[in-house]
Amino acid sequence: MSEMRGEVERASHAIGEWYAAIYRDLNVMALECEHNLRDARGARSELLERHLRAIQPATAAFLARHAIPMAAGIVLGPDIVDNNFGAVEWWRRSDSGSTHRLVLNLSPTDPGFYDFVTYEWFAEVVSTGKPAIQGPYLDYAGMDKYILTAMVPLSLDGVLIGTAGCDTEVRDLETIVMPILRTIPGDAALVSKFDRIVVGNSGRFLVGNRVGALPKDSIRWEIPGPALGLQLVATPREMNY
Amino acid sequence: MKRGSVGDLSGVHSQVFRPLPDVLRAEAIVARLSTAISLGLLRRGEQLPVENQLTTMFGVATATVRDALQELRDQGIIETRRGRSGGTFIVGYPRTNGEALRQRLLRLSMAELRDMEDEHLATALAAAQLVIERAFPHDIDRLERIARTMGEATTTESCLRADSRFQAELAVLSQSERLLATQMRLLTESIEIVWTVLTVESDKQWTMNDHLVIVTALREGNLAAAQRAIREHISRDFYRLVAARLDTLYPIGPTHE
Repeated sequence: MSEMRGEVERASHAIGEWYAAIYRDLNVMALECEHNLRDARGARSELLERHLRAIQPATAAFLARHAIPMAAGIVLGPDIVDNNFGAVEWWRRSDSGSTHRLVLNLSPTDPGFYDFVTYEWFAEVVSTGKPAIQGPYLDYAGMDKYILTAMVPLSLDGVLIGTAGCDTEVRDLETIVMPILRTIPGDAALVSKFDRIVVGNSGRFLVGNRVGALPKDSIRWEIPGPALGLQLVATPREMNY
Repeated sequence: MKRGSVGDLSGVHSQVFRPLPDVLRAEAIVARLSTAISLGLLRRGEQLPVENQLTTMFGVATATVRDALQELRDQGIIETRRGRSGGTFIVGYPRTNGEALRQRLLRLSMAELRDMEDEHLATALAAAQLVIERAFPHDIDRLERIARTMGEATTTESCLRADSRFQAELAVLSQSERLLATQMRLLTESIEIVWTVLTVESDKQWTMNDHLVIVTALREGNLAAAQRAIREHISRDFYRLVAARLDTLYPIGPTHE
């Protein structure tokens, strides 16, 4: 048991370091986006939708530095640019090494409407001004994948205008987290702040499930680094089958 | 081209949407027929439709069907006889390509495996409900006979066929053509992979016992018990798949520092 505690602590730090690097560079990207937007706007007082294209180099730089996330960009709430629906400027990686822009439907009357203002990664970040992570979730009408979204606040001239962040497919995150979890001599999982499993090291902890009640001799450990509410849970291995 | 449609996307997409070459279509036909035979959907001795029927059914060129049939003939799976009682018949079972199946398992992520398990559960649980509502006692007798065929199985391949036959019959008894189609697609995707990690010696017995528990619950009209048994059975299969995949991709070393 005490031996497992050491492994859990080491694993938590390894996972925390990975997230710390992601969030550090998302903050860098958010600052670059702010510069890009200011340059694109020029002498005008208001920001227009077409100005948003200017952030592409910042997102490309982020995706070039981090191989695991599949897309990056910024999201502005309603009334920030010249329409009522908000704006999503999101660039996804393509196999050829370039990126292409995600086309979303932000019109509420359309059946394919992408209703992002209610998502945690938007609502929570703009209301608290702090970084957050959401997922795993099925990003219907958006990326249409099973993903996690990591977000930091985005400001312009000292005013919070939205969020900047990246999407990671669950299957790609697994390649980073699984080798770390497999060093723990027990059933272990990385879980979200709502106790939803992100990656588990055995069939006992399947992604998407809730952890539920754990035996008394289980360990819960905060993932250090950015305050995202992520935890590592570990429990003596149970050979179900 | 309308903005936002696939047509205005670059590079990768034009690759994805390029026409399929004939050789891939022929391979797809070989794979489809081989799997159907492995799963016991097409039986030994059965006659295949004639060439131009196959052409229409698969929606491919005659030459493509010919290539596919030649490949199956070379593998000893089908045989074409001339004369009055001639035709193309199924005469053998495909050799299971264990390595290819293992590679397929390794390529599935945890999320994809769990999702596959979810769809299996959804399909089987719904089938059980409909079976209880619709099946007659003699239907359940039939399901039980099929479940017991696993008792005679001596090879992984014959276990696989018995397992597949049982799961297909569950959907058959639901009276839903759509549920059966979903079940067949699921079996085609997964059951051969499942039996790469199960063995006759250690797994045949509990598989058959689980099936018989399901049969009994259905016979008694006990939906909760039937669904619990189905759930446990499917979870066990997938627990084993996850373990096999992780042990291969992320082996746990004998010691940790």
